[in-house]
Amino acid sequence: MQVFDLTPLVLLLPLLGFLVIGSLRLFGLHEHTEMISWLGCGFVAAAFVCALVSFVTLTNAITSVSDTTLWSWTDHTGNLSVSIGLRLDALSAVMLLVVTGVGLLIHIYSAGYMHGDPSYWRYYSFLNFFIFAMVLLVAADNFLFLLVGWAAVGLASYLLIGFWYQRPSAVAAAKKAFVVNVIGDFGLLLAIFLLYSKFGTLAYTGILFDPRNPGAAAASAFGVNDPMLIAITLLLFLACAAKSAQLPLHVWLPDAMEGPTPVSALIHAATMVTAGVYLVARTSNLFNYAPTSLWVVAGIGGATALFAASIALVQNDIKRVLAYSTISQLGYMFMAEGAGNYAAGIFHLTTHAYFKALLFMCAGAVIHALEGEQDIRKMGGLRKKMPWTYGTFLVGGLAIAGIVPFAGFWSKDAVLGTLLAQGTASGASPWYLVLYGVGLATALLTGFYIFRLIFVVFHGTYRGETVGAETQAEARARQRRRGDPLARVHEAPWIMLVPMVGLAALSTIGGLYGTPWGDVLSQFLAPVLGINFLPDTFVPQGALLWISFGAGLVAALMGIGVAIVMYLRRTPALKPMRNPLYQLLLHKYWLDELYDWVLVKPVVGAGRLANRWIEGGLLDGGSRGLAWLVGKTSIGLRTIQSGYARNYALVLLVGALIILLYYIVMIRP
Amino acid sequence: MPPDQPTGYLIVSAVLFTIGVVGVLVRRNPLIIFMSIELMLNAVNLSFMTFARYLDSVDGWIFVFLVLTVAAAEVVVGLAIIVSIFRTRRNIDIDELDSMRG
Amino acid sequence: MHITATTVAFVVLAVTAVLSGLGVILFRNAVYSALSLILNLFSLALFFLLLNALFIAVVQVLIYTGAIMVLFLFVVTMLAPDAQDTEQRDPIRWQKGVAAGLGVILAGGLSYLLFNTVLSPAARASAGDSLSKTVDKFGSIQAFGMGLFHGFLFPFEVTSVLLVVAILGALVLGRRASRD
Repeated sequence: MQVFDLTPLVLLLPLLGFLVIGSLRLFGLHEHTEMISWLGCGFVAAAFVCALVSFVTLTNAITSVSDTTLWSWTDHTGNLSVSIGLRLDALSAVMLLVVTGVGLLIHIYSAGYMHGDPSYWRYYSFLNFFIFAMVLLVAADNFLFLLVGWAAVGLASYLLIGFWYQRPSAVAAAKKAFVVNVIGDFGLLLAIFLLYSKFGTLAYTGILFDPRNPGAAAASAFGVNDPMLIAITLLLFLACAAKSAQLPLHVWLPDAMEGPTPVSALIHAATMVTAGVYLVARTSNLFNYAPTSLWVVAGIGGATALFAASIALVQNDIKRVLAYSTISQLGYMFMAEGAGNYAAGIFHLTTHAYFKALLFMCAGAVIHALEGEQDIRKMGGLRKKMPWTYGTFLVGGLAIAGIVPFAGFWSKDAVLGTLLAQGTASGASPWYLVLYGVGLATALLTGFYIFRLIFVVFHGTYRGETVGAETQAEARARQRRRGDPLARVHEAPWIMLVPMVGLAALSTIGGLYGTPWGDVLSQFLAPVLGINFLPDTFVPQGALLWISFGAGLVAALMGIGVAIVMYLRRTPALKPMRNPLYQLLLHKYWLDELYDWVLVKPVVGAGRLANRWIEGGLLDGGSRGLAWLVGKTSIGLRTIQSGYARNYALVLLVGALIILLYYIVMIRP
Repeated sequence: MPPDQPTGYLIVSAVLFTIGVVGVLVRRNPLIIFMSIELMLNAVNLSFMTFARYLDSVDGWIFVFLVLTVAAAEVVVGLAIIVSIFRTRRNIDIDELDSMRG
Repeated sequence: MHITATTVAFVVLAVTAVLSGLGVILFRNAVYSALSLILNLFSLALFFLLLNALFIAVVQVLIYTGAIMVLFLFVVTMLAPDAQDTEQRDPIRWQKGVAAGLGVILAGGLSYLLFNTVLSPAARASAGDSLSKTVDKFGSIQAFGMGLFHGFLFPFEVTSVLLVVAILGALVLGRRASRD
């Protein structure tokens, strides 16, 4: 069967949605929330169907690559010619499915969560715009187009984080996200320059794949660890680190939780932050020839995973815990890619999309039910009032912790197994085993913090204010009367529950396409990931396989066990501790404060100085000084007008004398 | 017969002219200033007459005649102005008319 | 150069003219200045005689000394007959010195020009009908009349308009300000 390449439709449908919904404001139709919901979800649903069709037809011809050129551009000197197009291959097909699929579920969920918001139309138009930008990023067939998509998702993120722009904290968070992202954009731009200078083209077929020999890498012509190649790959990774919130550029992601929860679910869990993982996988043919860069990737991934998990242990905002969890899980993906197993990275990307989006949705349901409360110290005992939310949250928690047979178990094990296999191969570097240890430790921490969250929020007794009460007095009155502060708390509406249940189902069975015995995903992706990609090298052999399974499981269970001991009671241990380690973690290692001191304050100070000296002194003072000068001169000149006629006569005489003398001197008779 | 060169007359004319100029600049009584102006005009008249004699042309005489007429008209109007300005004052000083200052 | 009567006359007249000119600007009393000016005008009239211009000399005496200076004296005695030139503070004292200096420069410049230009005989010849011949033939009045009404008729007529305008101006300016 021929491949149905519907990628252009997948790209253009969300764009259309953005434009249509955005223009509703002009026609004054922006209050028809029902129509907006149908439009918003409809465009994305159509895009998803197209992506699905493309994917299905591709499965019958895995090695095929379908390139649709949209536009060709040559500069006037003829030196640079770029052909802008969309590429449908195994990798992009998978990514498209994730983006449009999870995106669709979140669009549906948002109809419930954002119900009643005055800027409903703006939300859906931005959300559609984001889908468009993400599709652009993923389906581009050259680096220039990729850059456009890269920047566009940054823009979408900015717009959506700062959606409630009346809140100064939201605006600040949006700015922070954008600024940190720009650092990554800078890296990508430099990489593009270097790529062009080295390869003479910007298209994937020229750079990643040798055009004369499809399947072979173009970079092989340059040998291993070529300095320029290392520079390029490191710059590319800089972009990934910024976009995917790795150390030290992770600081924007926790602040990004200021945006609406569905936004956090879509952009900062399932799709945008995974762009970095996608990029490394896409450029696997470059990274394979720069092993040094791969070590950097793995190292930073591992460090980030552990670092972020440690912070998540003690956070008290439900969304912050999930944000740090995202950072940590992204580190996992980079660890796998750094070890060479790009397919495992993508695998974990997909499963993470399912359970992280699910977890965020459940958090959103809780926040929605408690009318805006996000502090878990004020929650508790919600299990009875919100059984469905509890159930799906539990599924998500088990998935992220990596308990068999949930999706997270298989993908996490793919990552850990890769590290173990690479570490125990003959002549291998022991660092792989170090990374393996880091991965195990992170798994332990992950189990702990996610179940801490579950127990504190859903078990025990409710510790918060009476929900729905306007004042303290009213809260107390209600409690006296009815004795149940959670009287007004109700389960999430069905429109929010359906996507949650859907994602829960995916979190349960979604790992089965990547098990070591039937790794469908790796086989599907193999042709795209380079000629060196042999999936079998990443699976530990024999007994090691069971050891890897067991170790991961044990680590997770240990973490859950500690959480049970500490938090599964009527009054869980929630008092803030004085000890310095706790404070260090609570304050996120004081990194934000460090950045503020070292980077922000000097720049702002320099700006103020410039304002005072250049703006005030030079420019302002220049123009004011000019005016002053003119004034003084005119005052000086005014003294000539003395008012005395005799003075004027004197001036006349002087003039006449000048003429006389001129005549004498110059025109000698 | 008068000497060949008109130098003497012209020097006298120049000196008288200068005296008139200095008079205009130094004195403060408007009438004396006016008289100095007349002095200047006459010095120029002398100059014209000298040249009429030495260039042997009647044009110089005509010029003098016209200057004379204009001077008469000017004196009339000028004195009328001075009278109208200073009629009511006790002392007459041209420096008092300094309202154009600044 | 031999001393002739003309030369002597010239020198005497020159000295008189200069001294009386100085008198005009130096006397404190305005009447003395006016009288000094009259003397100056007389000596100029005599200069004109020396220059063979009988008619103009008489006209000078008649009009300048006779009419204009009388008018001057009239106004002087009306406004400030015996006033010393006001001894109030001279607001621009420096002007005296500057004026003196500039005067010297002026006189010097003019003299320089005089001494360095020589009247060329050629200019003399091209200046139209010879005046001296006409005077010898017809007399100075006729000479003057022929020049005025042949070449300068238009300015003559304009001058009469000018005189009318001057009279009118004097009338208007001389009126007392009427209260409306």
